[in-house]
Amino acid sequence: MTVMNENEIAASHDPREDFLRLYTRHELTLRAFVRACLPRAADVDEVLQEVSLVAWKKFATLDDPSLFARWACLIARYEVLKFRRGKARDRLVLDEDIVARLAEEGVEEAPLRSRQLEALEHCLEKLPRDRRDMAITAYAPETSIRDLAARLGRSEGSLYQLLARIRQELLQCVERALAREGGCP
Amino acid sequence: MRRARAGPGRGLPMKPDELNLLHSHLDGTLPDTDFGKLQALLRTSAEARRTLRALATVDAKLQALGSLNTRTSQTLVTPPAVPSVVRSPYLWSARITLAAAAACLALVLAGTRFIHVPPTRSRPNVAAVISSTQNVIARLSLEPPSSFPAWTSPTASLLDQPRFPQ
Repeated sequence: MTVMNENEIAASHDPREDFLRLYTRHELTLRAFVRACLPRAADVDEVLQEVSLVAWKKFATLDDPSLFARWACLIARYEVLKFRRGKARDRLVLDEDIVARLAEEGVEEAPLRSRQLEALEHCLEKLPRDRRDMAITAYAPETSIRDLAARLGRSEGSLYQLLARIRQELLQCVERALAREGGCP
Repeated sequence: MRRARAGPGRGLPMKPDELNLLHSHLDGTLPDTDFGKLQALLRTSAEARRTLRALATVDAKLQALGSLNTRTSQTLVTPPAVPSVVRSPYLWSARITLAAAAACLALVLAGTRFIHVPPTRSRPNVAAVISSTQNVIARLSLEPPSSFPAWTSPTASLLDQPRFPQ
């Protein structure tokens, strides 16, 4: 299958189509970027919705489509900070200076994030099937960790530990893959 | 086990309890008492921030797959019901009986395959053939004399009339 690059995407002369293609291509990068700053999945969805709206409104100002990921991360950074200010009084909300650092460094890592996601595809394939299915099940929106733990005959805590181990294994696999590529993860 | 390795361009490797803080933060299970530790870690350690972003990438991917693949969750969460008869104490005797029946059937099938049966040729209905031939002969004898030369066969009238060059 041939995958269009950003410049080919922008050659369609239909801005809506260009935007959709670019946004869809980089949505996971954006989600990962926002996820690092906000621990609740529902908050991530809310911020991403705003990011997509603002990005579409400002899309005409983006000259170089190859910079879409970085450009959208800058919008996401602003939206994350705006969202965080609205939740400043909630418990377990990171201080603004930390969120700002996470976001600023995250913008610079946008190209790395895309490579990590590519490597992740292969790492997920290597993961034993039962662990992969379990992790995907745990992340399904309709799954409650408490219910899943009960069905698997585990405690909630042990299920969270298992999920953490799976994430860690996947991360190590990704870093090994990128190191083999000669990149510096 | 969760100790991150230091690599080029990275800071000091992270300790297991530091990694646990990051994982708990992503899971939303971080106790209030540890939140200060997490903030201090993220404020001072570039490696911790980098690791959090990388773990968030893994997390985002799994979340995306989880949203897409609800069927996987259904099969894992609700395993197919096992009929009670299969769980009964007679399970093994039932299996043995079935296996014996299957073996007998296989033997019978194999036997029929190896027994030589000469190929049968369908016998023609002799009476019908004779009758048909007689009819044709009778019809030929009633046909008017052929206008074609003698070299043509008696059955030539049954065929299309030949065209001769002028």
